[in-house]
Amino acid sequence: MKREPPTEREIADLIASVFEGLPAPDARRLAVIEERLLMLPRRRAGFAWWWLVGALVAGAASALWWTVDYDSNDGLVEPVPTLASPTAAPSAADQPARSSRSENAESAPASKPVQKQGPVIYQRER
Amino acid sequence: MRDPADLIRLYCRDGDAGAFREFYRSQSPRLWKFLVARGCNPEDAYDLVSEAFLRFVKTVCRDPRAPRAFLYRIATNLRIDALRRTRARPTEPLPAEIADKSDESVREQAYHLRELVGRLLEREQNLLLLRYWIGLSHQEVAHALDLPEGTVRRQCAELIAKLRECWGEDETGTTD
Repeated sequence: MKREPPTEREIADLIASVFEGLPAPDARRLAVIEERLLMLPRRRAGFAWWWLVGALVAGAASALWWTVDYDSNDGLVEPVPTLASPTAAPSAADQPARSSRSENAESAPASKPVQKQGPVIYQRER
Repeated sequence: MRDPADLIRLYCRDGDAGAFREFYRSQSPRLWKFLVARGCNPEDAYDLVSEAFLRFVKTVCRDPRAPRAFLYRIATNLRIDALRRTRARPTEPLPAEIADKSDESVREQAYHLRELVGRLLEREQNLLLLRYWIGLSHQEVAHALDLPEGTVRRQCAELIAKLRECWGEDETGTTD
């Protein structure tokens, strides 16, 4: 004799009853696991806040350290030597050597005036 | 009995060991049965329960809103890992308690249903059992199996319809 298959609702209920009927586990073994779990340290949800507090304290300490360090070194800092401007004319001591080299390279007219100072670095050829 | 989510919230907020104990006692026997139903050896199922709860305790307080879904997600993943290692298919016999308590027609139905469920894919079996046996909501099943909620709803309906269809086909096949 052919029977009607159970309805969808009946199948859903049957799934629950069939698998719920499986043999129960050994309560003692589950209790052993339970005790082991309860001995573990608990992880709190607000744990991340401690990292934030730690980072703020570390930042403040770092800022304080740098401030104190700069203050204590004020008297020891050497003054920066003033450099001549790169556009300035060559110094007087440098001039004879340079002129002698130029004499060897090409014969310059003796009457040409020598520029001793001034900011001119380029002179138009005539 | 208190709501599992409330128990875990208490545990995470106040460190209430009693709340965790209550949660464990309500969930661990069923988790063990679930693993056995999924084809796990009963001895191995204790190890998996232990490992699943261990991982659960370590991480649940990050998001304690759906603890049961989270627990079954861990257990399902552990079961898949174990299955990959052993490459064994679930071959559980019909539980003796059902055979003793129920009459012949119910026993026959139960056997038939187990056989039909056993033919489904691994993920389909997980979905059916979590929804209709463990009693997780669609949203919780979605969280446990890492699926969209809409997919869970659709697949649940499809699977039940499929079981019913197969049931009818098998009945016809046996009578012919």
